[in-house]
Amino acid sequence: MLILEDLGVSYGNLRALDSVNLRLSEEGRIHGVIGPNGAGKSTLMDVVSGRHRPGSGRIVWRGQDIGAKSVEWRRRHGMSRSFQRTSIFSTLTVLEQIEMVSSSLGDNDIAEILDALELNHVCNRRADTIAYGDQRRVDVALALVGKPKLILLDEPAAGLSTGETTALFEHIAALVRRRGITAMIVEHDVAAVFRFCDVITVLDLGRVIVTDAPSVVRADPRVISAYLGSAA
Amino acid sequence: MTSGELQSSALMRPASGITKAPGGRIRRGWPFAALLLIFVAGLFVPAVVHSPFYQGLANDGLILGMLALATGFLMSQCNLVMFGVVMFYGGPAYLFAIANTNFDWSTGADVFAACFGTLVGAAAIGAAFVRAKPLPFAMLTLAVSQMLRQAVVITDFRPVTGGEDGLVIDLRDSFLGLTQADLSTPSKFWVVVWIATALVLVVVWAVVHSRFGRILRGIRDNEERMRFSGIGTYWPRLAAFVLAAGIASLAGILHVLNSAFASPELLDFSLAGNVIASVLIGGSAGLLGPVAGGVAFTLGLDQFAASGHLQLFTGVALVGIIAALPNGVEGFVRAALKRMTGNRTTRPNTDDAHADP
Repeated sequence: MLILEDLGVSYGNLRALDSVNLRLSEEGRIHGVIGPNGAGKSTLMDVVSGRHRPGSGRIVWRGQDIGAKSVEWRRRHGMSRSFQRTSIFSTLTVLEQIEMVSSSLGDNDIAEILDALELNHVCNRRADTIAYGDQRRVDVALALVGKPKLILLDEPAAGLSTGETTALFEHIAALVRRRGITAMIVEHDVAAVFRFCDVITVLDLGRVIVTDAPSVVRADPRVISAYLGSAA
Repeated sequence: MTSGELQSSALMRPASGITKAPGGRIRRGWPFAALLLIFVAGLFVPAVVHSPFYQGLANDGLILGMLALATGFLMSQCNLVMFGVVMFYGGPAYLFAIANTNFDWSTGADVFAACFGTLVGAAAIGAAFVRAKPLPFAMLTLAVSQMLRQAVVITDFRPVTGGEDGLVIDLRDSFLGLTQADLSTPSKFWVVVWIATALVLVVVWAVVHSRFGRILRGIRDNEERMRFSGIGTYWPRLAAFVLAAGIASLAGILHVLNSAFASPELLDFSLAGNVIASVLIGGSAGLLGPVAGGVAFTLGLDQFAASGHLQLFTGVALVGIIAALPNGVEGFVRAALKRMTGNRTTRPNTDDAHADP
């Protein structure tokens, strides 16, 4: 479905991504991306979603090189994302913004998303008046409407408590599996990533250290050395 | 609310996002009935205000209000301040006058040509400018309007534009059943400008409450998220810009029909300043605020001019009003009504500057 070939991004002399190769092909699976700060996780999200152009390499989405495609094109062709900093429409109600996006993408099945993300109690309230945890879920909901094939979630649990993080990941995992979506999640909460992800990629200094099942990644000495340390 | 209820209610209705309370239709019907009553009563203003001078002042106030509405619409829906709105006011006035003096067309054809030309020009200017950030956008529109102001007084163009003297218009036939004498009579022209204002308000209200209006506010709130939601941001902003230009052009056409004169002053920055002041006085959050601001500003200017200290008193009044009513008169009234009704809506408008009109 999504193939990254020798993907490279530089900011001046800094090599943010260096020959990254990844393949996400199975639907209904969650692919976690972890790594220390500055590893290139968010840059990877930005490049795949079209926020930044890659300096080198190819992004192949369902057989097509999309390196030059706009973010609107990518969204309309099944690739969506949420943001590290909550990115919603503050003066619209929760329902208004989800309906707006869903109708533009031809998806009328928003009730399932509102139910799954437990947003029904705030759906008639303006987004800037609801709790932060609810705003995070609205951000995820906006990425989930439109029946995307691939959803990129950039630290969806940022700022949430452990309980909220677990609940959010449970909601996401349930929706992803039910709808046959492939999810790529960047997250600092290592426990949640190892618990909910089917495959994990570890980045360090813009390079892929390993991509494998959680149990393999957890035991990999390179990952322990670069990121996990005693947490493993 | 269960998912079933959501599907039946949220998806089937026009997505206003407001949960209907029992009797809500009646409560929501009252404002419309009141507005209809105000509209009908407004038609008879000349029967109450007998002075032609004040009738004319009221006409000018509504035209300024219409111009302020165009500006306020773009401010509230797109966060764009059109400093150069006068180009779409004086521009069509000149186009009308040029068509009138150079071609043997009917008045209706002159009006059509002026409006069409303005909309085409607005589309071209908007295509270049709507991507700009708010401040550059404001200055770019101002620059174009002042270029136009300069162009109409260039000596080489005098045979067409009339130079500093402007163009006097002589209508060949009636327009909407009104002769030039009728259009110049304040009491008769009031009916025209009152109906036109009401129609513009209805159109803008419909746009603001449509899916298109919601998209505009979505772009205003978070343009990047809009694009990542698969919704382009360029064409909606361009359409909003052209709509605002269309409203301004209607105001310009009305002015020129009433005064039978197109002059360079219609393109002056001072007029644009009056428009911005009207928006600030009335408030840009709603639709009625800018119109009310235009009327209030026109009446205020007359009083201040009579005192002989126009600039001084205007400045003092503006500072006082903006300090006391940061969200304008309409924002103040909305807040007062909200306090009185105890905010029964499930949809709070905490940010009056961005309140839904």
